[in-house]
Amino acid sequence: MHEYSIACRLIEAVESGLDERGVAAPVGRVEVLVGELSGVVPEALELAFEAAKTETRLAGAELALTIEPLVLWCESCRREWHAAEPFLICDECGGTQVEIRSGRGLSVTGVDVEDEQRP
Amino acid sequence: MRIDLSRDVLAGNDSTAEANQRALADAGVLCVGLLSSPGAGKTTLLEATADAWGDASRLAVIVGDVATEADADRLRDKGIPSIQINTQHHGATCHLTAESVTVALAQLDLDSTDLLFVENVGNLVCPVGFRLGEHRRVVLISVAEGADKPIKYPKAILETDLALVTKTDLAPYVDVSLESLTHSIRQVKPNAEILGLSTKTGDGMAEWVSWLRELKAGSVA
Ligand SMILES: Nc1nc2c(ncn2[C@@H]2O[C@H](COP(=O)(O)OP(=O)(O)OP(=O)(O)O)[C@@H](O)[C@H]2O)c(=O)[nH]1
Ligand SMILES: [Mg+2]
Ligand SMILES: [Zn+2]
Repeated sequence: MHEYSIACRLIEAVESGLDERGVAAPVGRVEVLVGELSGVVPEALELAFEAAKTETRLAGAELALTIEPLVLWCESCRREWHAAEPFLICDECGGTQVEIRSGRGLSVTGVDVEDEQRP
Repeated sequence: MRIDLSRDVLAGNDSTAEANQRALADAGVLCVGLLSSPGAGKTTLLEATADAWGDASRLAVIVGDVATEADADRLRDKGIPSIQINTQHHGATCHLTAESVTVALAQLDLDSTDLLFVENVGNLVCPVGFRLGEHRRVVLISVAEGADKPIKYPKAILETDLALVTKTDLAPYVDVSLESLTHSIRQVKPNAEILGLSTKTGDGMAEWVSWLRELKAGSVA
């Protein structure tokens, strides 16, 4: 269950990103891109985030997860496809010049913060 | 208000890992990481490597376990300077982090080290995404785990540089062979580099040690 340590790093990433921008307001929503090959189980990350966020400025935040599909590319067929498993063999020509185009990612893409200058 | 924030969640770990790797290369230390499920034979392999290497004091090990000094004690008995990391004190029990390796590195005498092994916590899932600063990563799969493990844990195959099939002496008892495991590893990564060995009989040890020596002689560190 490494999702708890992932959730802690996610919170740190948001905090440092906001610090750099001088934003101090509480966070309401965090957009996260989770690759199918990131090794992170979305449900487990959501649970872990609930536990990790308390007593941080993300305490009131919710995660908005987007799944990044696992896309493989065959150099011989010059074709990409959404693969169920990360097996580096082309499902059409059987070729092995196959690379992972996307699906490894695990990143924060944006956050919603409460407006700071409220009347 | 929406703020655009493009941040890799593991960027902090990755940059610490890169710093570890550079520090090791600068000190002329080759760093090899070992990943496997619990009990695949990581520590036993390091004990056997100490015997085969010649001068065990030129090796070093950083070893992660949830609890106990047991593995570091076994390795020190073999004359290898070893640092134990107990992950229960580092927030994340199921894998090492680059930061915990940085702390351990400070306790080693890198100038008198040629080759550093980092034995991760036994787990084929969680450690895979956490780079530590290794120049090469090796995954161990023992025949006793069954031939299907590589396809069930493909990321462990994809993100490592060598697959070591261990405990080949047990093959006749578990209906799994080096060949069947090789087949399953190549289902994930057709051009995977694979070696088989048994520390019990010594089969394959020479190939493993020459893999290490070639790496050491090469330009990596
Ligand atoms: N038959 C046989 N047994 C082995 C071999 N290598 C290791 N073992 C046995 O496997 C068991 C586990 O070995 P370890 O080296 O402690 O495994 P490990 O991967 O370091 O285990 P953790 O650090 O707890 O994950 C021990 O009882 C070893 O004696 C081998 O080549 N053949
Ligand atoms: Mg061990
Ligand atoms: Zn193809």
